[in-house]
Amino acid sequence: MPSRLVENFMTTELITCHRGDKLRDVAALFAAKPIGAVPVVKKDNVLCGIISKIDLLGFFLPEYLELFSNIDFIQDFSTLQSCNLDVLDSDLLLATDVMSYEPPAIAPDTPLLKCAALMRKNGVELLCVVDEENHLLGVISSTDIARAFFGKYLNPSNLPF
Amino acid sequence: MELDYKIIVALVVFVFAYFAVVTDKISRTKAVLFGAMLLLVVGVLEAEVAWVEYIDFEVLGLLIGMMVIAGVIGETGIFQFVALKAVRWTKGRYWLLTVVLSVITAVFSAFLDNVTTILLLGPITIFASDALHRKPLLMLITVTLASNIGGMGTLIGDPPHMLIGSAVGLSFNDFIVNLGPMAIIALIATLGLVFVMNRRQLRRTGAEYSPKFDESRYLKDKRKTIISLVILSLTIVGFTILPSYNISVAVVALFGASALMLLHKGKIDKLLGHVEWPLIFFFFGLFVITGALQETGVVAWVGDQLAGVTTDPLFFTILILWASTLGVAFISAVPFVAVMIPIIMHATALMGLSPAESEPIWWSLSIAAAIGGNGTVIGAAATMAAVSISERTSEPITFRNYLRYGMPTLIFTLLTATGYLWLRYYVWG
Repeated sequence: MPSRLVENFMTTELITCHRGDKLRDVAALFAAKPIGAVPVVKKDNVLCGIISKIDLLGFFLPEYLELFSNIDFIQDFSTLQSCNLDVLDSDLLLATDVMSYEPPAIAPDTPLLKCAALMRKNGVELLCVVDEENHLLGVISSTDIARAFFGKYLNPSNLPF
Repeated sequence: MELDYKIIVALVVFVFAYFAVVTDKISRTKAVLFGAMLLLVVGVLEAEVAWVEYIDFEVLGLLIGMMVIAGVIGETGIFQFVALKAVRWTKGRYWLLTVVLSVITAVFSAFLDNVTTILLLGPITIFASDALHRKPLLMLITVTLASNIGGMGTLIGDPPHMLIGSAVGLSFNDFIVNLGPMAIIALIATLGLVFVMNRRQLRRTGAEYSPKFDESRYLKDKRKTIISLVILSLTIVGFTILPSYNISVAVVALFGASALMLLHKGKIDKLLGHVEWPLIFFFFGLFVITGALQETGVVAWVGDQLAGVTTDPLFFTILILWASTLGVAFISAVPFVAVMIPIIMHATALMGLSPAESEPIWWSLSIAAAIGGNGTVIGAAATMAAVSISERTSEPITFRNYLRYGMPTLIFTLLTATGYLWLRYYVWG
């Protein structure tokens, strides 16, 4: 099926932020829309990073928790000093402080299956679609891919909801 | 000493390998392994001689066996369980908790790998400091110092001790009897020093603290925990008894490890993954390089010079202690001790010291291997592990802030050790 290319299924109504945006404004985007990640762009819409929801959530939590093989033993996280929920109130935290640089990106003529394979490989749910000069053209999420491949099973009469 | 091409090649390889160790620009294992193989290819050392005389399979076997046992014990969560019990028991008294965690770390480190101990107890230390609303730096550094000191007390506590024990023929019991008391004294001295240096910070009472955690959740698999603790205990008992029946410590350790793997449900590649193979191959290459230095006569030449310095055993013991402590702090313990062993053997033989008379010299080298590692961040593998853990806190360990604790501790324990060796072996001995 040669028509199953990323450009035909990607989302072009983009929700992005700039490197210098305050982190709390980025956080507001996640509160407003069901999105998994926000691409970070610099001028002329050139992609320079990405902020995922999980990265942002990690900002509240003490980083050392990742060192434990299990964290079930902690019953009340609020007793931990470094669990700081008000941290985003600060004006000093910017998008650059959290974003991951050089996010995995693909060209618009990438086949959807390759795109799915890349998501699995990189453990991400969202890939940025860029042209040769790294201009952001769109994003494609695992939901878009699922719609493309699984859409044929969709039968309005037996939807569970 | 006549300079032929073999000596030159051996020295070049030696300098290259130690340069790699000190600068850390290339992996030390890569450098040492390449150098060792070069020596064998060029023919400075014959492979057969290397296999039979220089590669110490006792040490390699002991290391592998203990790494497997420590790794499986690490999986069970018992380290974390004990440390969390201590957090609960000390009821938020910061200084008491620091002492108790240091003692626990020292005991674990005496019988298991220091790096494993720090990787498992370091996060608990940070968690405890955090829950007490303190910065974790002080407690983490104290626990790291305790880990290196705890390793001093036994044959299996520290890889350099395995080298010394195997080369000189000192048993597990010899190490406990001679160095156990020293380790306890050094731990007390270190904790005392840390307290004096930070008394203002430590006296400040912490926030009211009610522990909201459940340590029993760390013990997921009771069967595995019990089996591995039983096997560890039997292995340690084996170390104390079996060598007198001509069963070597490496056999005991590997027997314990293989029994543990047999009873373990995990896959073999995962179990053997607990072995720190880079360290094993580092030792392997190091044995070949020091072997080449011995075959070519370089070691004998250095030993001659060393024996010429003094004939007084006491002065010699103290000299080895001080020089080796510095050497270990800046070169790191394993490579330094590996090359010092044959040199000291040669020197003591030349000085006409009997095995009993030269024993204190070996204890001084063993003590130096442990306390020298405390001086700098790069001195010991456990310290490096603590640094990487601390990078996940608000106040990571750096070369400079570590030096503030490490160097005074090194100097203070060095003085304590000097007194110990002098009193025990030359005044009362």
